[in-house]
Amino acid sequence: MKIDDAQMAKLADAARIGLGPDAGALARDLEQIAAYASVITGDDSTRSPAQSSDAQNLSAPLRPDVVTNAPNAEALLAGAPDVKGTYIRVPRTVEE
Amino acid sequence: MNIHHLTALELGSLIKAKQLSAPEVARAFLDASAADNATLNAYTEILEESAMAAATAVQKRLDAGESLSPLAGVPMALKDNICSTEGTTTAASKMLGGYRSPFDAAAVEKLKAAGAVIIGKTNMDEFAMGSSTEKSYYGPTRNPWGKNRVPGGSSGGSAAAVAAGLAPYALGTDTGGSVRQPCGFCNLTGVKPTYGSVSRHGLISYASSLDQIGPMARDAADCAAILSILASLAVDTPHPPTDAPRPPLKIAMPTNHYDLPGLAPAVRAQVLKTADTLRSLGAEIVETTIPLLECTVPTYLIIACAEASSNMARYDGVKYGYRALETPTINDVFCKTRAEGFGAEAKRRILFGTFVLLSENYDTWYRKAVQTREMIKAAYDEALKACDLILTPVSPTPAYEIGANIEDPLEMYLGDIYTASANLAGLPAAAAPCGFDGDGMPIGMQLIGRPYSESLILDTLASYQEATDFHKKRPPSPDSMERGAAK
Repeated sequence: MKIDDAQMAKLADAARIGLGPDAGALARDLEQIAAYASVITGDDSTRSPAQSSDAQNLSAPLRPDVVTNAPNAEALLAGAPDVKGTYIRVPRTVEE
Repeated sequence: MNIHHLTALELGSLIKAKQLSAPEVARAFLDASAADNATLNAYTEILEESAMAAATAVQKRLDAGESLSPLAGVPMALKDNICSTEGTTTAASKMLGGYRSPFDAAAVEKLKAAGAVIIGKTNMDEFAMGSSTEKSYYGPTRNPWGKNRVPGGSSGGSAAAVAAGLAPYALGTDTGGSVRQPCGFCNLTGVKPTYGSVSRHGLISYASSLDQIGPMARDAADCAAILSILASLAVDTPHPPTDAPRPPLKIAMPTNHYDLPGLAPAVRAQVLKTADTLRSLGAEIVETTIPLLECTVPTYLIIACAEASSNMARYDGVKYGYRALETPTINDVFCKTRAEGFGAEAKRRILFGTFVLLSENYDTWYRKAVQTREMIKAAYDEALKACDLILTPVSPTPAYEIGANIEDPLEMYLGDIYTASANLAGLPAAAAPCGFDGDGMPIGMQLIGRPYSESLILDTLASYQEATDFHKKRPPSPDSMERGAAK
């Protein structure tokens, strides 16, 4: 299958990834991957059972519903690229 | 006694008996790691200060008579997508360069409580997306068995560190084979536990319905000891064979798995010999066919990439991690950051995941993959009704040369053909050494079991490892790593 420039632009927009000069090479890679993966997309009703509602009857032990990592604004802000006080700073989102 | 050749349990036993001290052991492994990391690039970060502090603290607890796990004081390496408050957690990506986690992953908390000493964070394919540890922002890791070979991936740094004697054991993560395949490439034993049995809290997500943290160590006994700490269920330490009759084990070999054109003859031969050894230990080997093998990797790719495209959306340059410069608008922050912060493979998988989730593609691709996953799971459940374990190779070939598949992503993905099914089906699976090829490169075999049968898998591997010595072989010393040579 072919992924043209318009489709690539649509994917890049949905994925929020600026492509630039990579676009062509990535499109070829995606075509190759899609061609390989399409083995399961064939229209074969005998291989398409109704989706089951539950994958496994698991009995994994659950932990108590207790928050174990308490909010720590200082630690969280320490990882942010740009802060102002207790805010994370980003470019203006609403145009004037 | 070369402590770098000891298993984790052997070291723990010596520390408990006060024949060695935890700080002494930590020092030895830190020094080895620092000396050899320039060649192997197994670590993204060696945690000298915190490791020595932890070792000293554990020794105090031991000296005070506190009862700790058999692994107390034993150093370990941690794959760099598992959050730790020591050092950075980068997932080997520019996107998380320098990121310091404010919390420990649940697995790390449990190991620390048991007295583990984390000596470093290990290299990996970026965000666990890869099978060779060539896709790291920090450069490729080299296989201690052959410096021109890959160690496997994505937990290649962990595998290289343990194989080279730089750490007695390590944690890796496995989404499509990323613990098992590097173990196969580096002559180690490793486990992908039953999905859900080890907490993913603090594991940087790649594909949430497939990811699992697992141990990578020298033998089955070590893996069992590590799992007994990590897992939310009891995993018995394997028992060596006794004269008492053991219940006969039925081990299935799916013939269609052994007829793959891409399966290297040496791999096929060694896994068939493994079956002979297991038969001599009392197991009944039966032939079976597990259908849909040709659908395993396509199904895994579609589901993993779809989930990754969602999980990776959080890396937007806003709250943490890398942010591109010269971003006048918020859209520039997102798009330029993600263009610059992700490597090529991560972008490839995010875009493919986005593709299969587009509204016009959802039914044809993603829904069909989910249905096929159910069928693959049903096929394995059916097979495991008639047997106790399934025996397959870990990967079609031994470790290949660095750069061999870098330009061909599809060739890389095909390497997951034997391992991805256990992730899709949520089943436990373990890899262990079963021989070497003509170049002296390790070959691994895989055992898959029913949900929560880790004890049976590891017990079987322990019996196998009592009867063989492949797992005891060591790679050539670092200054002579021209080609693999079993010792």
